[in-house]
Amino acid sequence: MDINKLSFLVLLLLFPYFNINAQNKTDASVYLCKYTFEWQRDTSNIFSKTYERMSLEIGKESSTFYSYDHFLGYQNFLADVKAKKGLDYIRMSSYRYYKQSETEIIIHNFETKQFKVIDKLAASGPVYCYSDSVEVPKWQLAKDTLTILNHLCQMATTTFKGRDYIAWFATDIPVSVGPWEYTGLPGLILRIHDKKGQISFDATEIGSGTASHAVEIEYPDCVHVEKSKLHELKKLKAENRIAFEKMQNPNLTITVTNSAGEIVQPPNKPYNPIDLSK
Amino acid sequence: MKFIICALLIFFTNSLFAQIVVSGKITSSNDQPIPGASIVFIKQKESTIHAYSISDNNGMYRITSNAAFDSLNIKVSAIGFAEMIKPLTHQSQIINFTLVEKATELPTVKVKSNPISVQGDTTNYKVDAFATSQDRVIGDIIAKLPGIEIDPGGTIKYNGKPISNYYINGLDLLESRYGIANDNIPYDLVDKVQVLNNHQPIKVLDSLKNSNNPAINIQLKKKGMNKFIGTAKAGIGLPFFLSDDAIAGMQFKNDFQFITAYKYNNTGLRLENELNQQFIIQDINEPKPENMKENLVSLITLPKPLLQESRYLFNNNHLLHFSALKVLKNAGQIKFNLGFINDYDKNTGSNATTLFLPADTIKFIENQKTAINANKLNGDFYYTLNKKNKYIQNASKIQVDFDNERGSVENTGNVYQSLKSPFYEVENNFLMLTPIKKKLVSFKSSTILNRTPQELSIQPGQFQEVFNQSLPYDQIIQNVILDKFTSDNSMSFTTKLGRLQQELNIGGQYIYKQLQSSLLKENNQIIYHLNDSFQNKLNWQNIRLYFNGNSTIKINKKQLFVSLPVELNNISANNKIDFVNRNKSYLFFNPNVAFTFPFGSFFSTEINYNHRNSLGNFVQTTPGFILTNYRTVNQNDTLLPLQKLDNISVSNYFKNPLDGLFCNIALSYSNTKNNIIYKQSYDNIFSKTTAIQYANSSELFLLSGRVNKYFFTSKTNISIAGNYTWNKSLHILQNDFANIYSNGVTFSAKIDYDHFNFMSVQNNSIFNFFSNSIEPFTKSRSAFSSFQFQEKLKLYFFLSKKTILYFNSEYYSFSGKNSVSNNYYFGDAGIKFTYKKIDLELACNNITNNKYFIMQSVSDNFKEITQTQIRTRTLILKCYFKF
Repeated sequence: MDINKLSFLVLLLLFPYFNINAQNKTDASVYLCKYTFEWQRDTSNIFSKTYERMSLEIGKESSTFYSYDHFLGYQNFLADVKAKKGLDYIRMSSYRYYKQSETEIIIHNFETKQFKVIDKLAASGPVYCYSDSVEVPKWQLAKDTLTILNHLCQMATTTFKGRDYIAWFATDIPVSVGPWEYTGLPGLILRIHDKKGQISFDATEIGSGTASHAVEIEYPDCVHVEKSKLHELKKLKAENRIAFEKMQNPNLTITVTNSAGEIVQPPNKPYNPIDLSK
Repeated sequence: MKFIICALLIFFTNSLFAQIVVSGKITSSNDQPIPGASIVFIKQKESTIHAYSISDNNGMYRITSNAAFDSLNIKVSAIGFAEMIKPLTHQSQIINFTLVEKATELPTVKVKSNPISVQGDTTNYKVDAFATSQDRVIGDIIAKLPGIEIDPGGTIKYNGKPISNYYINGLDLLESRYGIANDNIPYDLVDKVQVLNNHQPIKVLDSLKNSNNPAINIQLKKKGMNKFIGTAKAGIGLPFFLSDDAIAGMQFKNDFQFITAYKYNNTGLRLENELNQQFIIQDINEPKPENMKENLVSLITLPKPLLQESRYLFNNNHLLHFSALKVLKNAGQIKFNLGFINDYDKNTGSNATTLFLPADTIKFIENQKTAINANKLNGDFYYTLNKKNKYIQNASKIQVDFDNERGSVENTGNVYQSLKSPFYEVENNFLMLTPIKKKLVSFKSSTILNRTPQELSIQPGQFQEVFNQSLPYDQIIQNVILDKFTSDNSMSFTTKLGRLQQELNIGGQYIYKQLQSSLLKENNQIIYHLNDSFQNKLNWQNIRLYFNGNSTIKINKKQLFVSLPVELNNISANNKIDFVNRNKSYLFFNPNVAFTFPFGSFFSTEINYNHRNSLGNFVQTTPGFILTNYRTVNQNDTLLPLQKLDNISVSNYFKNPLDGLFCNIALSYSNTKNNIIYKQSYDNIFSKTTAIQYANSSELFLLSGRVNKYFFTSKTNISIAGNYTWNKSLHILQNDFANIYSNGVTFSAKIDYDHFNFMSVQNNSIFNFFSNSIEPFTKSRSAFSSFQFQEKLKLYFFLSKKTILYFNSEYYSFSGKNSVSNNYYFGDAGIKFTYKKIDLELACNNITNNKYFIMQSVSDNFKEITQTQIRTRTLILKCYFKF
């Protein structure tokens, strides 16, 4: 087998990629906002925080929210494959992106007031998707203000999907969206964090959208699942990656050995999803 | 009239509370509805939004507001349209808007990453933002961070509080010996330094027991993880031949960490600080730990000059240490630390002492030469299991010291003094916490065994009238052996009932101590044992039973802590020389009340009251004479010393890390009542200390404060600190009672200025003032005082990315009433150059070639003027590299 094909296949196992298609754009992005997503994955361990760069592209009809690190990782991967780099090289150069990045893409359709969530959870498995009506949090406006990235922001608080949040929205950017599924304020949310300090999104860059980025992401063949089913799968992936991979691809055999060479069952890892609603 | 009032009332209530509904439609100029537009009520002169709505797919909106307003605007904005503002009258109405299209351009703004960020209780400091080229290890960075200071002994404090834990990537590798990490981890491997406020290291206690203590976590970059990192230093210099070498290796993985180093120098760097156990906050109810070396005899040495240590320390110092941590499969951790220090120090100087006594003043001069050879070996082994439902820690420690000191003192004649002072100790501490039926149960056990055999010999024999019928003799030798054994075992139950958390603690401690001392004199190579009054054979047993009730009430972050410990102490002391046995029991009640309350998110206040009875040290009850140094003998045939302490302290803290502003101010007053007073009688230079049973008290007042501000744009860190101490204590000097009052004031200002790319400036100024006065005889004699001023300036010029030129200047000034004035200036210069991965440094220290340093100090009833020999000009070439 061609070495490139082999490496491509091996890496695909590690790299659940997604594709942002620039040709079929239907809605040009107007604004582009990048956030740092800080996530404490284990509620009992404050050292379990991970950091990821997220991207929110806002058009006139819809907005798209995805992991910028994952996107970069995929670009990087394609470039490496094209340049016929070796397997080890590709694995090392992609590692920093794919390790724990978020695979979920959230498309918010302003007209239908629906989220379309696309998630290629595992490279060897199908692309899952579901649609869900937008649940608008009940925001309480406060008088506090804060300047973030030269935009005057006003504070608002809410309880949403099982967490208490403090959000700061830009009063001069009239789009009623934010990172993840946070919507409904009269301005773009530039900072939001939960009161326990486990989840936070902080805007690091804001500007006008560029032509090189397209908002619409096409996955015409995605497998429609129940929202709850996809959440179960995500939980399994986070807690027990091996069981998850086996479920996605029953032909796969993965063994984990310890330093002594004995086959061991890795312990379940903690999972702390953003959405805590049942 | 009534009508007008009614009308006014209606008018006001109407304008204040009436609910209004404003609705309408938003369309574009070609009559198309605009969905997703923001419609907001804003105050005319502000930009704060009072109420809002988002237009639906048909462009319709509806806002309901009952906000009190009188001058509101309604503003409509949408992507691709010009925003529109209309004044709003306070009534329900329909307002339609037609928006004009306008291209939306948003200037791109990227975050200039703030070097400090706050996430809940965690404050993150970006290391790269604080680093400049002259920094080498993470300790250099930590010392510069706003809100953090490192004191000269190496203890890290955050806003005035010592840290409780030092983590590397979340693992506590070094416990209290974190100087090893601070002095060895290269700063460029560290991504950020995190301060964890109110950190509770024991997970079982999380949310059950509150902590007010901060901890630090060193978060490494990816490139610092998982691989071996080695650093090395080789230095050689003049005068022939100085040497400064080090090699260190470390590796940090998620489940395994180690750090090891070997260092050697004779350039004046005291390596011991690196291995020192740093101060860790302890529970106030815990008695003083018994794991300390207690020196009963000592050499007369020179007071330490108030100088940077490397200027006066003539050393020959080796250090070797190894620390490793492994995370086990059950999430437990094992840790191992081993450290060895060999230090050979020499110093030369002279000391002029003035003793202020009721009837006269005694002055004497001692010219001294001392050589100290210290060897310290320590090993710790830890097992820790820190889970949400269980905590176990067992710590075993061993320490062996071999200290040999010798020296000569010249006053009226020559005296040779030598001291052998080894120390052996083993220690084991066990702590387990586990919940049993909704109660948290803890078991604690601590066992310490140590031995201090000391031998002081003085040639020729001193105190001739006491020891040799006033005739000269060749040598006197004081032998002392102190053995201690302690075992402390306790159990506690913690329950939480809503906002009340209660802890009951029951335990028992057994303390056994044995002191043997004997005096030998030698004349014409014949050794004589001195009789019983120069010997001690004491056994001392203390059985301490304690019961402790602690309650904590927490209401919104305000916290009241009340501790009511009762302890029963039974003491039996046996003197095996005169066969007098004493047996006595004491019941102590030691209440402690602490109140912590935060104001908003920045301020917090802590008030603490503490009443404490304690037993004094039994070695102060020796009936036989002990020669503690060549010119002092002790004789203390008394009952056991008892102390009653009352202390109240108030501390205020302010911190706003995002603004880089930290302040703290604390005041504390304590009153100590003693049943024993130590009478000091002087006969020329010789002194005798005798214990006398006499109730007396001493008072201490402390006030300290610090303000630290970091200016982000100019990268300037300024801190100003001040403290004041006042102390009053009763003494018996010769045969008169005297109160000694001492006052001390210190101010310091420190500035780090890193604004320019081409240079960095650090300046530190310290001002000290001490004054002592003695009552009742101060009226005829002026009080004595001392004034000290230090100014240290460091300048770094970054000539290129690879070249740094630096200058240090230090200025010292001393003056005081009835004493000499001195000024000193020191200058150092150096150049650092990076060639490939190797850093070369050429340094010239003490350019002005000062040979002596004279300073004066004041304490109790004496004043000392000390002249110390210091290092003359040195030239060192050092080479640093990584592998």
